Amino acid sequence: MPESHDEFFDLCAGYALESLDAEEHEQLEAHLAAGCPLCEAVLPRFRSTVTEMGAVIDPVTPDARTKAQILAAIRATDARTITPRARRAATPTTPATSANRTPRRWPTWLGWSGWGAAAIFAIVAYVGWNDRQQARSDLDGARAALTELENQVRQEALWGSVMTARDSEIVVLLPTAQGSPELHARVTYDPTSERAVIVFENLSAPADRDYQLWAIRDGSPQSLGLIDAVSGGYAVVRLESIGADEMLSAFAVSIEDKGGSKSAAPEGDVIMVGSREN
Amino acid sequence: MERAAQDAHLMARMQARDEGGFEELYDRHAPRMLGLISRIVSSRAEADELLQEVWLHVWQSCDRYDPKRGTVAAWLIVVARSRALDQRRKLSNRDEIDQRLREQRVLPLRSAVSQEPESGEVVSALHALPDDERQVLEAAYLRGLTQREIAVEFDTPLGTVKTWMRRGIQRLRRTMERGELGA
Repeated sequence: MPESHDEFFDLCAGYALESLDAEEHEQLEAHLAAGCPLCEAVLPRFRSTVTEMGAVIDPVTPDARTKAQILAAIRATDARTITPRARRAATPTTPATSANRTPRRWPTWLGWSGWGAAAIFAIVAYVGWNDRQQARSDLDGARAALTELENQVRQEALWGSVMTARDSEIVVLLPTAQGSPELHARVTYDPTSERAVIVFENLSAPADRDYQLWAIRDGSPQSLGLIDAVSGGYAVVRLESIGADEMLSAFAVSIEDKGGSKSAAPEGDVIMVGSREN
Repeated sequence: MERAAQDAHLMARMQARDEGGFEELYDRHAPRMLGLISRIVSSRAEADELLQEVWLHVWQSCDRYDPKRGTVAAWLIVVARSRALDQRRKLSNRDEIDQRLREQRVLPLRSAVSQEPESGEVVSALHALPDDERQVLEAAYLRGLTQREIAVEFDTPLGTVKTWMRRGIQRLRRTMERGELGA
């Protein structure tokens, strides 16, 4: 335990620099809580000087992604701002002034109770910890959301490149005699990447039927899967690796029983077809 | 408007939940905060992550900022340093970080004078300190070492380290107050 004020001033210096070990930290806080005008006068000056030391740090420019992630995080948390604010409002705290933040005031409203001070310290520590956990959780959520969005952007860019590739072909699917005249579909096919994007309009299968998409290779059908239309009969199908350029001659759509054709060829009516010569 | 007043204005905007105010404040202070955090934690990636946490905390708790306790810039630096020290003290590879930082002791803090006048003054004041006092302050400020740890590392009695630390702060303050070492 320090025996002179010089020693307490040494502790104040360490305190300002957050450089005391736990035992000395407690000793100084107890000394301050008991009320020491000398240390109370010195400590803010030491702290202020330490703060000024921040100016000697070489700046390091954060990358733009860091800022974007922070902005995404604060937008994500703003919707929940009411929760921490409400929690703070419900937490008994003193106004944020330098006067009532000094440890000397604690005994006044705690009735000199060390246990009371410890309890308040624990509450403050818990609230701080809780806020940090919440912040970390919010940040993790925002990072995950941002990663997901970036993946979506990459996907969109990938599929957008199909639509704009120099060698892309357009194949228009027109209704057959068995199909409704309103049916329409447009295939954008990039032979280089072997990807295709197909946009359908006016699909309206009965509840017990499904539309099935086919590629025709060397005169033989190959199922490309069922088509899920959204409200209004609109659907977009994205196809990976649909095959080499010279093998693919046409696209077709059939209407099948629920679940699609049970064989390797259409079993229901072919209602749309479009060949690459179109 | 001087820099501190501009910061105060931006802080008021941020407290009113103005994202533009937040962004401007970030652009002005994040580089120095990242510089400080990078010196304390083990990697740039960790520093970037911590910077995000710090600014999210700043956004969420900016209503706790009290101008009577210091400038906005000072508050931001304090928040950044405290978080970085917390993080560093939790790390299991602290020895490795200490080794890395010890290797930086040749020139731990910048010697160049900043374009900001107040910064140049602090740099000059720090470099005007006796080596022992400056090195003790740097070990505590940048590396988060306790007085006891510094005593072990410097192979110096604890009482001497404490005295160097106190005298270093006092001398730094007097020098800056007198403004005798301008930029």
